[in-house]
Amino acid sequence: MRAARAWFLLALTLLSLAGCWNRREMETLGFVIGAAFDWVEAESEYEVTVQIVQAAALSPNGGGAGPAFTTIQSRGKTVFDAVRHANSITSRKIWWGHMQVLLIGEAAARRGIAEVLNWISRDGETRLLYWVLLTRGHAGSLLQPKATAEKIPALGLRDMIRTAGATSTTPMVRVSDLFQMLQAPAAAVVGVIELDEAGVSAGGTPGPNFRLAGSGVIVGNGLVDFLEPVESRGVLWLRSKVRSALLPVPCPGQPERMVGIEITRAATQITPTLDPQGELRLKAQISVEGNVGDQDCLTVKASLGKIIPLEERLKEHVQQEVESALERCRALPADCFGFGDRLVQEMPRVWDRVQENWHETFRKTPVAISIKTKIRATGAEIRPLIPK
Amino acid sequence: MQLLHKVLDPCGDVAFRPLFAPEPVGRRVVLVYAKHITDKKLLQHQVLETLMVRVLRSSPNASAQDLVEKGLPVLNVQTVQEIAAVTDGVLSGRAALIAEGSDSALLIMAKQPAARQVAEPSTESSVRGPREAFVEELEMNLNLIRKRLPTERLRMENAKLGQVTRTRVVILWLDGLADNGIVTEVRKRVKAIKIDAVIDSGYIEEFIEDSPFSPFPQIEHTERSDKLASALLEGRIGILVDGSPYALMAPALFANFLQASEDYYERYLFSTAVRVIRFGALLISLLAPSFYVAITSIHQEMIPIGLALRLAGTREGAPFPVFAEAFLMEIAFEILREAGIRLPAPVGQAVSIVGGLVVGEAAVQAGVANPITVVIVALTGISSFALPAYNVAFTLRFLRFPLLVISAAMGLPGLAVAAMVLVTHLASLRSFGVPYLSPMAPVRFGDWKDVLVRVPWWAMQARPTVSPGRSRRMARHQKPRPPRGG
Amino acid sequence: MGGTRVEQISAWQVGVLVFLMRYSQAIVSLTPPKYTTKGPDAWIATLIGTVVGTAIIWLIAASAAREAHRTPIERWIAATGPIFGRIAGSSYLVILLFSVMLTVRQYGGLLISQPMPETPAEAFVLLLAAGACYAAWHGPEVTARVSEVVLPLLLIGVGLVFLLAAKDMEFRLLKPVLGWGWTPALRASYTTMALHFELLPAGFLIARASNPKRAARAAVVATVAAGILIVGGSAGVVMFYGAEEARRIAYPLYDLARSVSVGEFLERMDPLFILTWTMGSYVKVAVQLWAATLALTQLLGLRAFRPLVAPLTLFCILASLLLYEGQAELSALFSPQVLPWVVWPFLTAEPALLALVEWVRRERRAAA
Repeated sequence: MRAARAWFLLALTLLSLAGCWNRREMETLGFVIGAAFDWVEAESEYEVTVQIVQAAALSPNGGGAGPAFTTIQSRGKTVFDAVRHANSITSRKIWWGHMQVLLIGEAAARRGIAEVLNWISRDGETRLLYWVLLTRGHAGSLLQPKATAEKIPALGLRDMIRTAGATSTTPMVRVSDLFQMLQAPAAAVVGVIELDEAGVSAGGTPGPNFRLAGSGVIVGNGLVDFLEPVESRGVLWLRSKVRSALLPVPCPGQPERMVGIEITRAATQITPTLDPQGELRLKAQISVEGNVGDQDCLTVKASLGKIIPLEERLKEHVQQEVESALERCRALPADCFGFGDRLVQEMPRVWDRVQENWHETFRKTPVAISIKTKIRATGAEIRPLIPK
Repeated sequence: MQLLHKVLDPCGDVAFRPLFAPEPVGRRVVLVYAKHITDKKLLQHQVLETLMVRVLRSSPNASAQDLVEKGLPVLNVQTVQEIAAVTDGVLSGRAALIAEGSDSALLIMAKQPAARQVAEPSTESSVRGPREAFVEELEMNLNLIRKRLPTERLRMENAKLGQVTRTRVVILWLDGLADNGIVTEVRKRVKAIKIDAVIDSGYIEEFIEDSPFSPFPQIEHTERSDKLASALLEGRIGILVDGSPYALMAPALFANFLQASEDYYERYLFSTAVRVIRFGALLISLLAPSFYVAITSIHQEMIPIGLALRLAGTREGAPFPVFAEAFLMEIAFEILREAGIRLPAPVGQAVSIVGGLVVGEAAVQAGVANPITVVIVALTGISSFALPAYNVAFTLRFLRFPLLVISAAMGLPGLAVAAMVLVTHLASLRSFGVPYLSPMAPVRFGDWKDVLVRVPWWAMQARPTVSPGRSRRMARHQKPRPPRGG
Repeated sequence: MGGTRVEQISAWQVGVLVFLMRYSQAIVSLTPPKYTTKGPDAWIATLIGTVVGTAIIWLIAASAAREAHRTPIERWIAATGPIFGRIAGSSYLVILLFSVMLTVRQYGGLLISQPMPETPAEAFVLLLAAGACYAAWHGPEVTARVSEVVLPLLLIGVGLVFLLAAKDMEFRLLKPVLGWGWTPALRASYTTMALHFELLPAGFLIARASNPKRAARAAVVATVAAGILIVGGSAGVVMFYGAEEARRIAYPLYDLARSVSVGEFLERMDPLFILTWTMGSYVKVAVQLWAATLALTQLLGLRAFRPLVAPLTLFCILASLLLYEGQAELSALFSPQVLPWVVWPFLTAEPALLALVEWVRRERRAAA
């Protein structure tokens, strides 16, 4: 008994004395809040930009003075290479544990997104919950100190993403979603961010700020093209990812004035079918629910006579958005909508047949869209203030 | 008589009071007593007066037997033959009555030891419930117990321990409720103790433990008479030691150390909540510093980002790594706590509170310590005070340090394995044969109603399994119901 | 301190121990998603594997229960004589040592791959083995009590992770069910079947149970219960990540814990996950070490097993570090190509042989 206990204690002591390999003190860490990966064609190198929070500036005693973050840029042959170089520039250990946002530049995305993401998908330091966005052009410049008026731009960006559901013109994609999309048959659709010169920061100071600007379509491994905000929403309609939106719809009877319909709920069912000749057909059923947000024509009341034509208009509006998205994506060609995923799930043998050139095949496959709309309520009032 | 003088004279506090029988035989009788420990009134009234005035006048040849039966109006009288018994008795507070030429002596109990009044418990206070605490005098303690348990099932067995102190030890149990095997075992162990002195019950505790090397106590002690009575009613065995206000209770399981007698006097919802909090306090006092160090040193990703930034901000320029900081602050806190106990009451309070705040604040201002570390250390310390059993609280405080070292070295896996080793140790302990961790492990569902939760009194129908036979202690269906009808 | 008294554990405790042994490693590596070549049928693979594995365990448990209070080694010796019995019984020693080394090395493997990469694997191996050695030294009774404490914590920890991940799981991702036929699921199930070899100590546990028949039943029930939870785990992982991604991830449930959050407050539950998994592994290694030591003791004809615990642990630590070097080798070992072949003889042939021999002897005795 004594022997065993002594032996065990010895082992434990040895362990503790030998030192702690993985220990890092918090003040030595540089917390990465946002990062950007770029590909610099001229040098054939990756460029990594990281935005590191200056924790001291945030501490309750003695904080506030000085910038809240620093930006570091470095280059390397692979992404990890660039990251390692970044470590050599700064005195703190760059620590990715709390990264909130990742921006990927256009050039890097076009060249190959899997290569860009390779390091980050392996490394254990990063969480898998951060948001991914594409940028037109160089991504790193969005994280530079003078780029925006935010105190800590990356955090502001994260908050902006979280509220993006209000208009649903940009897909909000976490990196784990992105991985999933990249391995699925359909094309991945990722939100795009750009700088808006005349914006206002969260703190109220006027100055450049971020702006959500549509999405980018990634087919296979590379970025193919960008979509406008409205087209992006069309994609989101079909992907069943629209959270909320305000759609201006022409007033029945007064087409030059608009009614703002607030979308409360939207869901889409995609079904692949085979027609009698054995050809593939795709069917999409979208159901939309909304409320009357506001109206410019003052004629809408909560009566069936007024609401039903409004629902029709809404249906047309949604149809238009969806069709423009379809057209755009077909032209690429790219299955932006997840039809291929559904095909794998519902009819795996058929998928085996068509998976070779799916996006091409998708271009030629007819898609039938049926939309059901319902306007549930008109808010707190049944008729406008001064009805006409 | 010569011998007696030889032995007892050097003591300096033994007196020999000669009595003469006035009648023709002129027998000389001597009363031997220790001056400081005997009740002089009793000796004068009951013994001297009676003997001198009545007995010896009327029947001068009365034998010892006669005296005992007819002459001495004293309760506790014994006849002994050996010198050793006489000396023993005299020094223990009895008065010896020896007749010249006789070969036996009478020992009359006349002890009047100096003792405290029965007062409130000093270390186990409660909001509700009786407040009678034991004192150092065994007779008074037995008084307190017997008045709570006026049943013929209460058994008391005596033992005398300690060659020099000759301390009287009493083993108590309720016949039919206590497991006879455990009673035998307790008796065996107590009687096997051979030591020169027994000053406090703590001495005995160390001799009769199952695992003396374990940091965890296997015997409970209490100052409160109601707690001892409840323990006896559960089928446990109590040990009272003369000279010690702390009674021992065996067997004691881990769950017992989380129970306070107040739990049973308040309503069950409140008690259950308090027990849960207590259990949380136990975990905090043991694991909090280690967890904190492990997370801030190695597993930073687990901290929510706002807190992480705040933490990093406050740690700017900190001179020590978190582990060292936590370690030093813990030691400082322990020193303060110990100091607070030793100082006299009015000063003691001030030192602990002021000491804690001022030193902590100063350390933070000086940049030596992180305010969050100070908070954690303070919280840990306070949590350990939430535990009703002082000995377990101390154990946990002590164990905190090795855990701190391991978690600093190996992070959460290290902490996890160390905690597991601790649990294994607890699982291997037995208190007089009963596994320490029951009723959690081995699982005995019937006993769960009193561990983490406290089920209402009307639901506690069977006694805990420590008492064999799962006897029912109350009638069924006593849950209060509103009156029917009406 | 109970030197010669033979310790006894209850049937419930046997069940808990078996459950923990099966579940604690599986929750981390969850092999079927990795080896399902096509489609999301990992859970079906696990189902098949569990069914077959349970059948094997049932055989082992039932035959153990019949020869009450005798460990497999003793049974071999009793059935076939001291020499051959020892030779046959030593196969148990081999497989038990192998499983200890495997478990301990895997423990180190996960920890150095993600949360604590700079720490050498040896440290974790030493940590877990030394700790579990203490429990093994105390014997099955104490280990059983520890397991009773661990079980609820483990279930709560894993349950919490799944609960939080549930909102992101989609049943749709489980389709197409058997879209490519049974073959992918079958192929992937071999590993699950083979992994039941970790439950071989059950034979030893039942020998030390107060009621062997009930203990045997408990062991089987525990295997089934663990299997169900693992099936659920495989399904859940696929529902969360999608089949392709699930296949890619080295330690799916661990990643799951990293991906969930309670509000925005508690993120990355993986350290908690590590805590619960460490507890499960601790129990598992403790039981395996004890069984191995007991086997060795009986092979050598010694009386007490305690003195052998420490040296055997040391041996296992050293051997496990030499066993293989990196993650690639570990993966290779676990693949359907390698593991089943290595383990099959011990898992099926050997207990079946023993049961057969005993049955023959019983028949002969009944006839005589």
